[in-house]
Amino acid sequence: MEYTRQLLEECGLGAERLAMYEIPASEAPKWVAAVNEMTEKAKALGPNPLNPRWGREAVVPEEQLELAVQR
Amino acid sequence: MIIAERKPFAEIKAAVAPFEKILIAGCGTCVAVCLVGGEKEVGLLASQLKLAFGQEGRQPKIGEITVERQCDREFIQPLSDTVADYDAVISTACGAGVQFLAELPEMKPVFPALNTTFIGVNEEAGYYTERCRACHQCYLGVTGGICPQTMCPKALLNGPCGGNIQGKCEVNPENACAWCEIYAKLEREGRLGQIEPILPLHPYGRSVTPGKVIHPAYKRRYVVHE
Repeated sequence: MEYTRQLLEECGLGAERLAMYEIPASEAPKWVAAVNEMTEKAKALGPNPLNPRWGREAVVPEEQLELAVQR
Repeated sequence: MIIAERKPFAEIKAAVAPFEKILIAGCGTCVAVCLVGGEKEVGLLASQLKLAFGQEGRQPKIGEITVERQCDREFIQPLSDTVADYDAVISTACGAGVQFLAELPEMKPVFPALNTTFIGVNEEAGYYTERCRACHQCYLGVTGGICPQTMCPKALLNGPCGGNIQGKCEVNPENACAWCEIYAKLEREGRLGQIEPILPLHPYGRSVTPGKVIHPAYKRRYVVHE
């Protein structure tokens, strides 16, 4: 995990995009907290700089779904 | 086997930055075992380069190929044709492999991805330690299988020196004194007497680089006059 974070940091994507949490199956609140934390982190970091849509407004998953339905 | 470490990514990237078609050539022997230069690591480096160049708006062609051994001409010969489609080659072999690859006719500029470190052993997964300095004269039979050239930082042939502190090395107190270990091992095996004779001066003359070895069975082929 640490090595993969290092690889991501080296190539400029940033180590903070990857994290590992250890959560017991019985600890649902911990799972929710981890998901929220990672979501906040991802939002703060912004979209993947390699995404071809980079620079334009990001398409949120709901819009993608709508587009797929329309097609 | 040969142990190596990968160079910092920035150094590899800077070396190949001027090129648009890059081939990464892996080596499937020693460096694959020590997890720095085999097929998987070639894939990792290719992905890293694509991601890093991608962020600069560049999409260089990055090819991957891994051969059995880069220190054997029969395995690298086919690469002479492969490199026709590329501008530069990154080799993830040890220094020997990189040089042999660079010697091939029609070869493009070759850049090393590794720093070759030593001849060593696989202690555990991902943990390697040095054992041999390829010094041209092996004393292991006399020294109970512990190498005074490698395991003693002073390469003493008639040790220990006065610097050992309760069996630890004065150069690095974390390490055991090689000569104390040799003594203990020979004492256990009841053959202490064999280190009593003073070992002659190490034949440093034979270590002049570049070394050359011709197997006795091949002396006629390579016209060696004795």
